[in-house]
Amino acid sequence: MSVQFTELQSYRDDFTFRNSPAAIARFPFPFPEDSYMYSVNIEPATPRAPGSVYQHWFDIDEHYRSEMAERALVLDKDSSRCLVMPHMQEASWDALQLFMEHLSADYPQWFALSCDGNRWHWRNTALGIDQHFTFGDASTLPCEPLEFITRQVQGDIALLDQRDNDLFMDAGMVTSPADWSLAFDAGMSFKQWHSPVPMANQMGVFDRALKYLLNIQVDQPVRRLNWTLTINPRMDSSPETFHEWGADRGQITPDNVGSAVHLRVELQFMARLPRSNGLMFSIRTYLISMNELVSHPGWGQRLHRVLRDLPEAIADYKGMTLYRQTLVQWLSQFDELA
Amino acid sequence: MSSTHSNESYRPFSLPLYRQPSPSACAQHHLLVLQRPADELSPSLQDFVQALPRPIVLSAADDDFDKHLDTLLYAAPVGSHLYVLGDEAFLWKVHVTAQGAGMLSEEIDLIDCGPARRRVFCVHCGLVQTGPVLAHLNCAGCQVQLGVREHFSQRLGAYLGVCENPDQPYAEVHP
Amino acid sequence: MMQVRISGIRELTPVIREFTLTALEGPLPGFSAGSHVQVHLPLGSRTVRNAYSLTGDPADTRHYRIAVRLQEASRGGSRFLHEQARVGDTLTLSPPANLFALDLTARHHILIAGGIGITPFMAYLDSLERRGDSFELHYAYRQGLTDAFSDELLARLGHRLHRYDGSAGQVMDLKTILTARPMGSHVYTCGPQRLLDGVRAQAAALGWPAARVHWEAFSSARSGLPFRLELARSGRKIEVEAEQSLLEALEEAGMSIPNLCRGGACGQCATRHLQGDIDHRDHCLSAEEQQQFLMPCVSRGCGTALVLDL
Repeated sequence: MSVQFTELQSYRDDFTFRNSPAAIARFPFPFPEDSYMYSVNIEPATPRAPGSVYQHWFDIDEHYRSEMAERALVLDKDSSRCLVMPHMQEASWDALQLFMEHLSADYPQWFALSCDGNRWHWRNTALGIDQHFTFGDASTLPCEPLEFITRQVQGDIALLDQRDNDLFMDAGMVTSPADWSLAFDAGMSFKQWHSPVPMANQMGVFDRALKYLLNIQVDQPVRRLNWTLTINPRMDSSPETFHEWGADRGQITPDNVGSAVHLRVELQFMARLPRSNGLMFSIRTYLISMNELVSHPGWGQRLHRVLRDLPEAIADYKGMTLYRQTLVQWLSQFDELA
Repeated sequence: MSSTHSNESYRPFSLPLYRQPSPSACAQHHLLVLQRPADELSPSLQDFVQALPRPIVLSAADDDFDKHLDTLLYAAPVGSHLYVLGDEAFLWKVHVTAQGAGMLSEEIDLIDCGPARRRVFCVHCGLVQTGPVLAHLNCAGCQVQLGVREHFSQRLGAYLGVCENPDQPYAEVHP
Repeated sequence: MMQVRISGIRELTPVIREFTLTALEGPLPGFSAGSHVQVHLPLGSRTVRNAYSLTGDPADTRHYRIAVRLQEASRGGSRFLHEQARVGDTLTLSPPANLFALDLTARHHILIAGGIGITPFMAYLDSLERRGDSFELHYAYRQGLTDAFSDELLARLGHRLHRYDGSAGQVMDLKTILTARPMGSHVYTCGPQRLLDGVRAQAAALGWPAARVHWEAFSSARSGLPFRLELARSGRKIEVEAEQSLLEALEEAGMSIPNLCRGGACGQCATRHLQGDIDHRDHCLSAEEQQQFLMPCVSRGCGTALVLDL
């Protein structure tokens, strides 16, 4: 089954982004229960459910071209969204290899890779890229290897250096963060970069998660889902541009809730990088408007209950304080018991 | 990220912890960097300085401090321990230099002598600016009014500053 | 698990053999320098798994190489490899895992090897040279016996190699090696336990922070007395034989216990015990932790029946 791309849609300004019915059907709705609390909800990233977001290591969907165009726009304005510390060059090549091997195997209609020793040939017909290069020699690519490949992959990527029984965020491409800054967090340890997350630290969640991640082995990746809300289908909800989009949170009314408020789900995927021993942390973001979400049976009711009962500290951290009431009120119409 | 207040019992993990001054028991070389002359330190800090075994001492009041600091740190062997005494902004300026020379946080003790001055990173324009400890300030680079968050980067030696009020991003802070 | 074929055997010394292993199908998984594999060794009625460092270039995706020292007082794994394994034979391997990785932020790497402890450093050298990192290697051995790779190392490294032939009375001076080293240095050591202990003690005495000191012990299960084992949750009773490790007995009984090093160092197989006398042989748990946990890869029951929370 081959993925087809939509015409270019925008994640800013006029926000023409929309999900097709197929995209809505495969949206990774993250709530298995009527309430939500932090947990180490990590599971082995076993490929499952053909056609779903869980089938492949790296999911390419109908929004691919739109998302890559958006990434290019962000990088034009701010090149510091991509960062690779000098000691992470090998990890950068590790990541490039993982992406090229998996994309060419999983989406052969769009990507092809052929290797003759160190001489590699990569074709991305979705974006019109045809690149010969020498693996390991950055001078044979038009830009730094991590930047080169992540300009062709959906989702943000962080590369973590594993040392001293900890993980350090020493490289990444981050153009669609849910309100965190690579430029600021670069170099931080696992618990340092998770520092702003309320409540979870007291519960020992991050100690357990770190231990688990340190033991991930080659070809045994893991995944988890994370979620928040975004106003408008804005991919780049970064602190860097907060002064441009932050005011949107105060613009929600009962009339525009359905179209403006979006559920933002991150499919986080973590894989061991074989040669550098680092960890790749892929953050694949899916957006869905409230109108689209409630078209799926049961989702409106469940989301109503989750958001209604969410602890205030978590709601504040996820940035929904100003419009939570309006949103919960609007969702209640889809809850049988409300 | 957007919350600037934390639970009483929960201290954000990234925030720096300043140690009580005491000589490292196992270090072989003790390096002491002072922002101000030693005789301006409190009595207890002067005692601490006296207790250090044969330290190499550098003072920011000296000429060519930056150059001497670089030379000192790049020549320091493993087994060295660095003690820095000064205000918070000074501590982290030196810490950043020391990490650039290859030192680990475990090899550095920061002792905050005040007065209260700190470094703030403006996430919008990337400028690291030094000033008094304020909850809000207008960025010297891009003028966005920043709220200073309880999130700290050791690599930058600075606290995170993010636009405080997106409805009026450039509103001036009035003292 | 992967199947490999022994495609080459090279005698490096009278007691050390190098095996070249080639995949039966598909490419071999990539690995990072310092990684090891577990080789599954058929010894009569049971299979023993021994961990060996990968000595080959991590950039080589077609072959793995290991170097095995014949251990006299062992349960027979190394003896099998020395005396029975032949070119063309098939072996089962567990995929590579790394418990002894380079610190990529180090400004200078000091490698200290004793005897067969040279093996992880052979892979280190390929990575370090590719990265252009600064390093030195100190290698203690007994000439003609435990000096594997010595000549090729000299040719390759020149002045960066320091050799110490124990049979000629040459001894490493750890104090000199670790004194006045450039800021940003890290030290790595692999070999007999007394070498590891010596390096760690000397480093600590010279003010090296723990984060700069890395070691890998080559230890494996030793035989002991047979003992009785009971699994509390299922009630199953198992007799563990003298030549069998507790971990192997559990695996034979169909239990799946996480494990990586098979030698009591990595902590993966830690299991809660509820009752019984225990001979703790690990290098990992504190005395306090041993009150509740043991490492079945090396530790054993040794008196009353051992009851595990499994």
